[in-house]
Amino acid sequence: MKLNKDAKELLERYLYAVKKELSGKQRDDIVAEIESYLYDLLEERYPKNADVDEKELEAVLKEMGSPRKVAAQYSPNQYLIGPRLFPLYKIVLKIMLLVVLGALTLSMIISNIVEFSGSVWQVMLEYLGTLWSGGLSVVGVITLIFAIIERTTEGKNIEEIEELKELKISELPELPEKEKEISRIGVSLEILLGIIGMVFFIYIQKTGGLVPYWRNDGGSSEMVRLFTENFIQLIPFSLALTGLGVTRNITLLVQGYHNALTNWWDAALKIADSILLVFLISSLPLFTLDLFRVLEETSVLAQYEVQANTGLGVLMGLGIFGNIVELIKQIGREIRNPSL
Amino acid sequence: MMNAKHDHELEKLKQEMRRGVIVLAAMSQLTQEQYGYSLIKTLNEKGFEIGQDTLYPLLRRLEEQNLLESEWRVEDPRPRRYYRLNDNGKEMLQQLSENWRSQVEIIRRLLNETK
Repeated sequence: MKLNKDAKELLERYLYAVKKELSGKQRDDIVAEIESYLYDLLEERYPKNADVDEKELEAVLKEMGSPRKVAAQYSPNQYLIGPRLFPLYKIVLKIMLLVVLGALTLSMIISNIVEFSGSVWQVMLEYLGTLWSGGLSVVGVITLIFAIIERTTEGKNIEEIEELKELKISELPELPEKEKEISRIGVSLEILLGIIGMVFFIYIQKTGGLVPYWRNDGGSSEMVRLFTENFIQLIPFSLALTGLGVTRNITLLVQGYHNALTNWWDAALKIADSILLVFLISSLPLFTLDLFRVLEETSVLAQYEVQANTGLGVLMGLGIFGNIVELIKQIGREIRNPSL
Repeated sequence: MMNAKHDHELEKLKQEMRRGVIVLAAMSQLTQEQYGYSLIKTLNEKGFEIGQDTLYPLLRRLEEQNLLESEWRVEDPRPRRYYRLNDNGKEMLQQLSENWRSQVEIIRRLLNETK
């Protein structure tokens, strides 16, 4: 058996293509072995003195398949992140997405407190754009890091993965039936706090943001401003939402379990709360530290009024983010496992 | 339609069952020196169908695991790569064969129960 000139060239081209698809030290050796196999195969099919032409060789190569397919058999890692690392990858990705998206939300809120451009739509669009590109970068970077870990720790035990395989009873989720149960003490406490809050809001509304203080000298009391006009304007809404929250908790206490009504009620309240928080943030400053100035004219504390208000804004921003995360989880749960 | 799906599943399960046995089949024929093509032929003649796309990567893996040794030798008319089990591989073959026989016995008993 002898290859003619065209067939010889075809064989060389085929082997060159296989070699290009391979990587590593052994590629020349692998290609030599495939060549040896092909000659063995041809020798068996064609008599000793026969000339093999391009067409006949092509038929044999077709049986082998494309160079890519042949080379793929020798490459152990035909995946980016394998089943060994995937559970850890998912957990890290989730946490990092939450952290980065949270930080972006927070920075959006802070930069708008410092300097509001005046157009809510523009701010929202820019914010969505940042979320999208930030989220994509997180996914890209984490995937890249895990692809590297996958290739550098092949066949080794990774402690974090071993830990994931261990049973931890406390991490098991509650059964859906159990999730419907309510904690009577918790709900009662929430009702109490809600009522205290409502009394407080009504009082502040009545005094116009002033609170009493007692002078050291003889017990005579005077009023001093604690809350700004901006805050007082929003009190009716705060009052209404707190009232709705208390009503929902009373409903829970009476019926004794969570159902679709109380769950959706809660979701709606979370949305309304978040909107109120946005308005509160855009109305900063909400309180003054005049109280300290009255007590002591050169009070150091009173100087930090701006910082204290900004701090409150940041806390409220975190509140919005927490609400959104909770809301997504809650709606997801409700869709997977609807309450009756 | 139903039949096509059934046949597809059958083929998948058969391949899954075969995957573990290929190592044993290849090792069983390597107590004596063989080159790749002759090993494929021997296995096929004895009823165990296997192609170069499965066998060659497997031989490389076994060599990496220090069960085989190989060398290129120029014999008429071209160079060929010859494989044979080393001592470690022979011991492994012995242990795997014992394990295989006991598995076969267990499965035989299990299948008899279903008759």
